[in-house]
Parts: sequence; structure tokens; C-alpha cells
Amino acid sequence: MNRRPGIRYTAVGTGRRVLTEQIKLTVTLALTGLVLIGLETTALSRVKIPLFGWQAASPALGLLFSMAVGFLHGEREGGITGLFAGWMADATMGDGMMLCPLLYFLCGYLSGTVGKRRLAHNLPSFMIFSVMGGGLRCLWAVSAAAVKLRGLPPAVWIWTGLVPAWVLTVLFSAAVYGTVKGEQWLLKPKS
Amino acid sequence: MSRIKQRFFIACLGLALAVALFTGVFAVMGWGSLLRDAGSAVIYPFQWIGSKIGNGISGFFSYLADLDDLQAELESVRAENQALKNQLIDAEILADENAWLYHYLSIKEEHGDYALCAASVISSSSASGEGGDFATELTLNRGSSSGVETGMPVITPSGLVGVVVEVSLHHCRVMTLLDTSVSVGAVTTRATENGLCEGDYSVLHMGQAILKNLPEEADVQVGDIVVTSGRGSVYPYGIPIGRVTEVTANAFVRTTEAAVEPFTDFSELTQVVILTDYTHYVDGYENTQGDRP
Repeated sequence: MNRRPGIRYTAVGTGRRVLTEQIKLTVTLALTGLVLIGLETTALSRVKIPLFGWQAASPALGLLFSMAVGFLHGEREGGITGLFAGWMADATMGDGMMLCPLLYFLCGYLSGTVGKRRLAHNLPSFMIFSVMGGGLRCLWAVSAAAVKLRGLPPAVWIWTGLVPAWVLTVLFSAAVYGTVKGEQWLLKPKS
Repeated sequence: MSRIKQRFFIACLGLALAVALFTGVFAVMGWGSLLRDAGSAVIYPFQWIGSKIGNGISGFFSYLADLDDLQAELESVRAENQALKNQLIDAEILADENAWLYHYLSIKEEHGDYALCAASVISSSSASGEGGDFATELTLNRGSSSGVETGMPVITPSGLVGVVVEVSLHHCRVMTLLDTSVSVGAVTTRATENGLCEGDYSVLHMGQAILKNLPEEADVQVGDIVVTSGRGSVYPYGIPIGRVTEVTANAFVRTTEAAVEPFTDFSELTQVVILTDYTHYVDGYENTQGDRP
């Protein structure tokens, strides 16, 4: 069989199979992302940590999900998931400019690029991202809400509102990582 | 490959910035964000599900938090339930007593000349039969301390029960109509045929008695009502005994006999009345001879 140099040959049906797998992955990730953001904005928005007062805080599951996808699937997937998750998060919680897509995209993309080159693909490595991503989101929220919160002392607001959200984000990172890892394992083509 | 990734990064970054910028500009201009509304529409079903889950979890934890209170409340409700059950039992007993007293009063109203003494059945001897156990002997909770004497008739609102045969200070023994040793002067209400109503082994198993010593040509039919005749000075006139169920002729002694099914249910006797005194009538006429025992 003569094969021309410079052309990539694949077995018959491989392209269709790859496309099917990509569609499965996309649908699964989209649904998971929606479920996680749905939980973040409803059931988990009532979580209270006594140490930080009894004010409710919610973990940034959308952000964690973007970073987990980037970390486990690659920066492209992480970036696109970040855009999507940011859009959803902003649609439910944001106001003014929609800046969450930008933040989530950057986090998802960077977790993919940095995770691939610098860190091992395991949970402790992902925890580093969750700490950084959660912190970044808190800083973002501080800067975004600084205009609104004139009456309340910033220290109180940060301690009772932002720090619990950050702690919760880090605490939930293992669960989100496990979810995405489990999906990756389930969708992995069985040879 | 690297260039492609750079393009991808720049494109996505540009898209994100454009979205932020345009949304911000539209928000400043007072127009709602189309993107935000679209995102809300997409996420809404998942938020609805999340809200339901949250409510479930919240309810579960509040249930756990209130478990001690619920336990205490359960104990309290159980105690209250037991108390109410006891009250219900008491109420049922009172209702029975009330019904009995109502009948007792009806006897008093119907027979103004009767002196009555209500009594409860303490124990009974019975004969087993087709319709159950029929009492032939009763022990009542009244004795000479209540003015009870031997020979006093015992009745219920339904009819005749028997006669007191033995009296102690606080108890008395009664032979019922079904016992073979009891003999009651009786008369049919339709044709006033006189006879003696006695217990008999041949009909005891059916809870019935026999009306004997009727003339051979006596006009007795099935369905006739039998009452006390007042003869014999033990039972007052007119106490219902029962209804004739069968009529037979006794060829040997040339008399007629009738099986009588008593009005009183001898299988379920719990309350009776002892007639301690009454005006004595014979066949409906007052007996001025004063031969009341």
C-alpha cells in the first residue's frame, strides 16, 4: 500500500468514533457544569461555617470545575469550560459587567497549561490550583463589591463573607476533582 | 500547534473581554443583558433541582437537630394516648352503665309498684348449647344487706330471669328460668291459657324452657307470648317470659306442652334487677289475700 508522505492515515471509522467521543465528553461536561453551578447557587449557598460567623457562603464550584477540566483534559477544554461556567455563574449571581467568564476562562486555561507542564496529575496538585483559584475569586469579589459595601467595614465583610467562600471552595475541590476524574474514566474508550 | 493554541487563547480572551465590555456598556445604558438572561434560562432547571435538593437536605438536618424535641414530644403524645385510651374504656363502661340505668328507670316508670334492687352478675353456671352457653345459675353482688331474700324474682328489661334461692350477707344465688328446679306460673297473652313454665333438659341446649300442664284442648300457637300469671305468689303478674316456638301434645297425660324461647338472653347476662317488693296481682287482678311471700 502506497502512502504519501506528510499525510496522516487513520483506520476506517476512527474519525467518526473520535467525533462521537468528543460529543459525549462535551455533553457530559456541559451537564456536569450546569448541575454544579445549579447546586452552587441554590443548595450550597446556604452552607454556614460557625468559625466565620453564621453568614452563608457558597463554594465556587463553577470555577473548580473549569480548573479540574483544564487540569485533567487540557487547556482548550478548560478554557472553553471556564467561559461557559463563568457565563452561567455571572448569569445567576453577577451584576454590572460580566467579568466571570474572563476570570473562569483564565483559571481553566492556566490550570491546563501549568498543570500539564509543571505539576503531576493528582489531587494534591489540583488542591494548589483550588487554593489559588479560590483566593483569586475572593480578590475579584472584593474588588467588584468594594463600590457597594460602603457601610460595612471591609474586614468584617471579608472575614464573614469571602474567607468562608474561599475555605469552602478549597474543601469542595476534592469532590469536584473526583467528579471530573470519574467522568474521564467512564468516558475513556475501552479497548 | 503552539500557534493554534495561541490563536485559541487570544480568541477566547477576546470573546470574554468583549462579552464583559458589551454587557457593561449595555448595563450602563440601562438595557438588560441578553446574555445574562439567556444564561439564566439555561441554568434555571438545574437551579430548580438544586433548590429541591437543598430543601431536602435542610429539612433532614433540621429533623436531626430537632430529634430530642421530637423524642420528648413522642413520649408526651404516647402518655396522652394511653390516658385517652383509659378514658375511652371508662367512657364505654359508663355508656353501658348508662344504658342499663335507662332500662332500669324504664322498669321503674312502667311498674310504679315495683321496689327494685339493681345487681351485677358475679359468676354463673351454664349449660353449653347450640346458641352458646346458657346460664342456669347466677351469683349476684347483692345479699341480705341490700334487702334481698330468698324467693324474690329476678328480671331484666327484656323479661324474667329467675328466682333467688340462696342469700348471704353480700351475695345471692339465683336459679334461672332454664334450670329444671325452677317452675313459674305462666299464661299466654292471646288466649290466656295457664300453665307452668319449667326448665327441661330436652330444650336446654337451645336455651329454651317448656310450658307444661296446659289443657289438652288449649289454644296455644307458635308465636304466642308467654308472661307470668302471678299464681304461686312468687312472681308478679305480667313479666314477659318468652315466645312459643313449638306446640306438642302429650298423649300419656293428655296435656299440651309448648317450647318457649325466653326474651332474656341467658348467654350474655351481666346486669339484672331483683324485685324486692311489688303489688301482687293474679291474672291481672290485685290479690287482696296478701299471700306475697
